[in-house]
Amino acid sequence: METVKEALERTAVTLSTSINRVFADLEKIAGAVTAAAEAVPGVPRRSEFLFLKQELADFIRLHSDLIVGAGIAYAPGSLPEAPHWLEWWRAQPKGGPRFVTHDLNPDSLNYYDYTGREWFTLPSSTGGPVAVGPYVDFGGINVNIITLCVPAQTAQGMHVLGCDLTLANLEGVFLRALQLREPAVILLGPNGRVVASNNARIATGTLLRDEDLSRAETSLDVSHGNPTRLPWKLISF
Amino acid sequence: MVTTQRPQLARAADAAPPRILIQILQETAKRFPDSSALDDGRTSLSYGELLRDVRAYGRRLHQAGIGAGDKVGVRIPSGTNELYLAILAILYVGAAYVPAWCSKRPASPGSCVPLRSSPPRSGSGPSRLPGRQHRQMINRHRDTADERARRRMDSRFHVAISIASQSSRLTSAALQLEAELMTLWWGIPGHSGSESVLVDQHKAIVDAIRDRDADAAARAAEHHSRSEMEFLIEQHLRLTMRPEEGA
Repeated sequence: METVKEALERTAVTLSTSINRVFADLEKIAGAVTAAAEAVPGVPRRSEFLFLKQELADFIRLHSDLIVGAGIAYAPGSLPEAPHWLEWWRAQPKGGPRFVTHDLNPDSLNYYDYTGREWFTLPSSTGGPVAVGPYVDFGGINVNIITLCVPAQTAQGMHVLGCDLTLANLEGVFLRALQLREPAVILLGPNGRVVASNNARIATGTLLRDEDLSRAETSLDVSHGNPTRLPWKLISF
Repeated sequence: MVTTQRPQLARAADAAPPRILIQILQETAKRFPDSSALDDGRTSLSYGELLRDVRAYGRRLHQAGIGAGDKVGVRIPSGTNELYLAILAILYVGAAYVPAWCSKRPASPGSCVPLRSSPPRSGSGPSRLPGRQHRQMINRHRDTADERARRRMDSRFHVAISIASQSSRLTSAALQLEAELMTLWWGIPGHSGSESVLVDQHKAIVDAIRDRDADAAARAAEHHSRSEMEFLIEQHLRLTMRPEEGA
């Protein structure tokens, strides 16, 4: 008979394996961005990165069981054409991904200042990949998501590549791996918000209080080896 | 490990997701509200107008006591817009339609007849507070042994309370919600062991409204709504956990 701790350990392995597979492919694309920037004398123009459209479309298709979109946010001032530039694509039920328009006009009420968003600032400051969220991407795709982010270092600054995980798909991976209805188990993000749970009373996105967490029976890092990259915990009550 | 289920036919993934006819109508009306949907030579209806008329027809059916799970005989001449309106409205309220033979145009234009042995329900009637009829519904809910019949009683109670509120918006939303939920009930087990709890919750709502205690009624309704929602989430979790559901 499997103990709760063993079930959590098994779930952690499944989750981290699934997510690390996505991270690995995104890091390859980030490497290609760095290489493309280095191959150009001087400051690369946006046209040097046009290959990303196809790369990211293939990436989204390959990982469509988990992600719904992906893109790149360029380091501010790194492109000669515009001070800020963000290219993001979102999967469609049919055909290739659709370009997601963001309002990059600083004078606009709906200005999407990605340079202040956690998914951009965290990888920029740490220089490493990180899973951010769950959060509602207001001004972006306006739904509750998790973004996996990978930095791409260039001489012009740190670009950030990212992809959006839907919580519904992640919940599926979590529940099918867990196979437990009792006790209550949650997958918790670093911001204290519930990513997924096996309990109808603990909804995704719920912000847990410290006193809730103090009642935890078991707590386990999903990624033992690299909790910074995947800072999620599995907690049973 | 995550079990992956792959389509067995090429391009199977391109097929539309499973939907009921009413969902297709709603989606079409949303995407092409001005496109022509029905034309019997006398009246032409766009998809937006068709959906509007289907909703109105559905409200009339419910006020006549027809609800989810009922079988309704339709005796309306073919080739008329009303025939299709009636069929769609019957499906809209979660009932099933049964074509009835019609050799000539009936004396009264169009008729929908509930096919059942019990006398027609009088419904809540307009501008009535929940009262005797609602308590009778609660008693029937309590006394019915058949699981599907119990679910129909549960749905009818929700719609009847909405009608009693005299809010067309709430009633329309309740009709739509109950019709959508009705398709779910076929695939999931009932509230095992909690039937009496549901009946008690219904009773608490009616009692609070009867006593004109708005706060208590709101609390009772919210409590009941939360119970039902948690039940649905439990089913979602249970179904998602099944390995064969893997995407």
